[in-house]
Amino acid sequence: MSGARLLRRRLRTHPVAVAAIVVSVLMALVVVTALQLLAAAITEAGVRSTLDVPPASRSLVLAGSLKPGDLDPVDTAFRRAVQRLPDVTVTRVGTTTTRALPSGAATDRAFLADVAGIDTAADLTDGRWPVAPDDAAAAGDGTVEVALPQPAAEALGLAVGDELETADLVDEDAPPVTLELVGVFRPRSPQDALWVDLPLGLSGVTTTDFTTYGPFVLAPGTFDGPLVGSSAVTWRATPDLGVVGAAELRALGRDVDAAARDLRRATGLPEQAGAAGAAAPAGLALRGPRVTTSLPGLVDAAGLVGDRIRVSLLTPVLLLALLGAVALVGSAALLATLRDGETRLLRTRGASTARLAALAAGDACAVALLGVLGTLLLAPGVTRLAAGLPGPWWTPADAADPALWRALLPLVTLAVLVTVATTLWVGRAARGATTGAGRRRGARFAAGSGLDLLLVLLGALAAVQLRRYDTAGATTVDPLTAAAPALVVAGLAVVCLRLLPPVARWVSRAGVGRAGLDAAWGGWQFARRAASQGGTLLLVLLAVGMGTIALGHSATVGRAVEDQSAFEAGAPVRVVRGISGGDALGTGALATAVSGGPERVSPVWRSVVDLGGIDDVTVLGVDAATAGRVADPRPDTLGAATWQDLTGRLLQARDVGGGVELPGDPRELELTVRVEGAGSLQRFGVGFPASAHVRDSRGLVTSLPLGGLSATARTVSTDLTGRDLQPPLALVGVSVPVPGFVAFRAPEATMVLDVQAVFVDGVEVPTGGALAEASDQRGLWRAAAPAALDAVPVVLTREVADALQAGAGRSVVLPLGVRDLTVSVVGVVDSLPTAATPTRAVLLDLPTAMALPDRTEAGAVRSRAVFDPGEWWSAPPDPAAAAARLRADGAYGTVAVVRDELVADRRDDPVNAGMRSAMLLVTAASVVLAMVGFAASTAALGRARRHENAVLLALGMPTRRIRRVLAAERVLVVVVTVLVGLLLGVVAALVVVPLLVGGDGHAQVPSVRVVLPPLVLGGYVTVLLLCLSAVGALVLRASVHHLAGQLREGEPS
Amino acid sequence: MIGERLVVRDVHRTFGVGATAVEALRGVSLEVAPGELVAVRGRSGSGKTSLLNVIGGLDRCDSGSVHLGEREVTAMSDNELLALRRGPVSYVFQSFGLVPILTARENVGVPLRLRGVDPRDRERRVTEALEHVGLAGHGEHRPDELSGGQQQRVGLARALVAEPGLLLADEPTGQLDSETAREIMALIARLATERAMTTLVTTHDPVLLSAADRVVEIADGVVTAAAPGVRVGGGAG
Ligand SMILES: Nc1ncnc2c1ncn2[C@@H]1O[C@H](COP(=O)(O)OP(=O)(O)O)[C@@H](O)[C@H]1O
Ligand SMILES: [Mg+2]
Repeated sequence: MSGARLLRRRLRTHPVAVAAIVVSVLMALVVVTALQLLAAAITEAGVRSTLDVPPASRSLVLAGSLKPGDLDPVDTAFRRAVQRLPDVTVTRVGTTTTRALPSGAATDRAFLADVAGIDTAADLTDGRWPVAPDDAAAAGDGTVEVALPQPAAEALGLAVGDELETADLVDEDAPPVTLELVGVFRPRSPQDALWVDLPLGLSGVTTTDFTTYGPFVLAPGTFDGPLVGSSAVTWRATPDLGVVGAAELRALGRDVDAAARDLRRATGLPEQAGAAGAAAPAGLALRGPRVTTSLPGLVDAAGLVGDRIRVSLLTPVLLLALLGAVALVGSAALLATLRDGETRLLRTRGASTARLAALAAGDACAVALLGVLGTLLLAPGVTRLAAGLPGPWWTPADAADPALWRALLPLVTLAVLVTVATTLWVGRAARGATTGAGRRRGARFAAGSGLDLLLVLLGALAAVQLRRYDTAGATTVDPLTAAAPALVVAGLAVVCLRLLPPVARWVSRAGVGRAGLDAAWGGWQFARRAASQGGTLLLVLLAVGMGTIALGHSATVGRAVEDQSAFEAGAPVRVVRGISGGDALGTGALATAVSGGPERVSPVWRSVVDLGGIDDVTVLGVDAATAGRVADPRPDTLGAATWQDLTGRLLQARDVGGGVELPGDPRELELTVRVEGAGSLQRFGVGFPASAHVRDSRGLVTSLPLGGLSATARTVSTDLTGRDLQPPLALVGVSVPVPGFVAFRAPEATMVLDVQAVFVDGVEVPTGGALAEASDQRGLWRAAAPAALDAVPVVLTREVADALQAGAGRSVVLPLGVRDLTVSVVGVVDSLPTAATPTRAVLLDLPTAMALPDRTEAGAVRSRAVFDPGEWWSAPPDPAAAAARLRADGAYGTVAVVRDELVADRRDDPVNAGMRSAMLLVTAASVVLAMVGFAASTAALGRARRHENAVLLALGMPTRRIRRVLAAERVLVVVVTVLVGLLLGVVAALVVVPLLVGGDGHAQVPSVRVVLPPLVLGGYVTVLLLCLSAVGALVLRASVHHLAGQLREGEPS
Repeated sequence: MIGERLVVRDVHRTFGVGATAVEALRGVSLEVAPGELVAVRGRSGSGKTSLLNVIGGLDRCDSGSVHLGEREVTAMSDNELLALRRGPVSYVFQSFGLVPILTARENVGVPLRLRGVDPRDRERRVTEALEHVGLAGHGEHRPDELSGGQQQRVGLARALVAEPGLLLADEPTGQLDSETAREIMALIARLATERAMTTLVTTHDPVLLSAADRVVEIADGVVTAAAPGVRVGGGAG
């Protein structure tokens, strides 16, 4: 007989067993291969999304100062060093001190910059980019071509073709430089890296004590000429990382390191960042060189994301491979048992073990071939479907994918080995069965070897390791760590196998005492044969465990995405004012309008400071009266208190102090004011800009520009419309800043600010002497009586409280940069939403902080509007509509962070979506494998029990009843195992799921909380129970028959 | 229960059809008086098992009849046959037919559980049956903890506990050494006498026949001879 025909006959004789083997092999091969392809796809997506950061976060920077004429060699060296980076964009910004603008106020300044590569980040709205003058021309008439950002050109009232003269502020004898405006531009995106080096480019104007306009962008290389003495130059190389995939990461890391090393070497810095030791002599004339880059960290982070995804998917891959192997062993054992007779016959005819092994290998290879074909046809499509990738179900190119073969070949080899080994083992066991010793020895070995304990131990170790890795953010993943989740599950499953027999005995005791046979029989079988059903039990345990993990993972990701989005947004909508610009942009008023009223929005002042020796502490000043409503942090992040409770405590000390009440809903505020003793300062170009400080109904103090003052009484006014001011209002102060140089140049001058009258919409309101003198060196002040307040209540995160050694009830002074604030701690929490470092944050009530008396050195006391809100946390009735309006009507740069949008983004993140489909795929596959394995083991059971059943029949038990008892026993096994498996799954999910969530590269803040949805799990368990019961019943119907024939054939033994 | 009269008339049983057909029983007739112990002797393949299976209702004959007391076994439905084996007819198997995971007590209790006997009554009868076969102290042992002879005693106890009118034992000593075989035969004989139980034992071992009241020889599916002084074949009349 030819080999092929023999094979065909062998495969045809027991179609059910062969089908079980084929399905096990096919299912395991397809899904495990698809999972591995999926891991690669998700890794790719994860790496890309990690590398997709704002340009400023992925650039390499060289900075230092240069003398004219030294530019070229440094510029060439920089460009040569960075050209190895992919699609790199190079910009260069040279700056020097600001120049005076003679046309405007004494405090107006022009900011000049020599920029190369501005066309990569800005578009001209008018004119052209400046070009470098010929050397002769530059030295000659001193006219320099410049371009200005649109807001600056508008503020200065300049148009293309206009010229203006600027004066040197340091050297009064230097000749003025005439600037000719040749172009007006607009930044393409505030995210572009250039604006990190040239922030003024976004706003055009900034106001501190001075009003600075610019940047006046000069042609590249202008500062290399005689125009300036020296300039601070920053080179920035920004590679395009969109072209970098997981495979190119390593090369990118090498190139980044090489570029940084070349630059350090060329500029005489030690080769390793931060390394001590003598610097090599500098080849380049760059003084104070600094090389900084966040690229290596970014590359590491991307590599880690890849590792994490591989680790995460390793759990389902290993478990599924295990599940497939167990199902395969069951099916192959069944086939081998069914063929027992044939095998004996072959043996008696003199077939050697080698010949039998060859036959088994032939069968296995035939099945493996089917598996390979099936995998080639199915795995690519399944992968694309699960990863949500476009493309047809199958293309010929898929079969040539080396990744597919890399994943498939070891699996096929394993499948063949498992099949052959099982067949031979069953044959040996059958021959040894006459003594019964072989099998029992095997079982005792497995139990006695402590394999289960070893697995559990390894799993526990690995879990500990994983936890560390999870929190510490290690940069490598060792094999034990990678296999941890699978080890945990497998270890727990084996423990369950050990625990099941006693549990089964306990469960079955109920039925054994009673009169009837059926319950007792099922109980006996279950209790005393549980150990021998290890295969079935393991299958069901693993399937249920896997499903529980998968469903828990899905629910947990959903919950984590919501928690993290809520944490990042702080409120349903968070409005962030565009870069600088002050409240003149009207963002606050717009935010209040779109929120549907002031009670739905909290203005927020944010600052990041160093406190008590720790850096990166975010201080959040909120309107505690509304913050309790608009924000809703997760309760478990707040320690023992509730959010309402905490915001309530912040409000306790609120007291706003005195002021001049401005009745009604005022539209315009007018003051008659003069500065006594200002005469001696006439020569500086008088016109000190004054501000009125107005407190609104919420207690927020806003400072409003009044225009320049002079020595003679003047009526100055400010427009109150279009501002975020909720009536009733009160005037709490008037101030005039005194520039430092004035005090320096005229220390003898004594000035006094005199507020003579206050008008609201043309009607005078009595001041009643409410505004008292409160000047100091930095400014002239008139201020209302301050609030009776010693300290501002604050809520600290535990980390900050520990660093400040300030528990609840203690008072400390927080140096907040803008002013020192005496605070009393009224609450300690774990983390606060929107904080840069979540565990480092301070929360306070902004109106209370504004009202806290600020003592001058002279002892005068005043409230100051130093906390200028830059954010508004809002809970509008329709967040999407509010966001749309904010984006349409908001000033340039206004950002609306919408919680629901973040949720959608994260949910659709390829890593999260891919992991979710991977887990669901695994769940489905595990159910199918469990069914196949269960069918095989049930069939084997029907066969193994045939003698016993024949005895029962001879004793007068009807076949129907025998089958029913067998079925009842199977159901009992399945129910108990499924319940134990559910327990195992829950334990495993609690350990494993937090590690599986968060491969998407987002910070897992607040910490992941495992969600195990009871309804979903219940449904899953029910479906699994029904499927397994149906399979069991079908197989039993087919396998428990001809018992009478069994008796007739001879002896039941 | 008191032993019942067994009457077998002209029983035919053929296995298979056509060229491969095997005529296992070719007109067997036999009568066993109540309480009588009859040994059926014959070479392997002579039809002993086929005969016992037809008598016990595990198999159906092609023609002929089997009467047990007033009942005609050959006319019974499947369910009646099952009821027959739960009641008046008990089997003892060559390979004992014990359930390996059950203790001796539990094995013996199976027929009583099948009949739904009250647990207290059941336990009492199980104890008695084990005492009868001389295994009073071995109730909690599993089959693999017992010797072959002891296992067959458990098999006997299980057959007796249901108090049958007819005991069918198909080569009950086939797997035992000769010493033990003799003991078991003696035990069967003693119990049959004590309980006045009609008993049919098959064997091909001539040594064991001395315990029987009567020996029937069977060859190629027909009764060929009987021991001297014993009635052979031919109907009741
Ligand atoms: N189920 C069966 N199918 C076919 N032939 C059978 C079957 N049972 C018994 N036989 C045949 O019937 C004849 C009698 O068998 P059996 O009653 O078992 O003999 P004994 O028990 O005396 O050894 C034998 O030739 C045997 O091969
Ligand atoms: Mg026989």
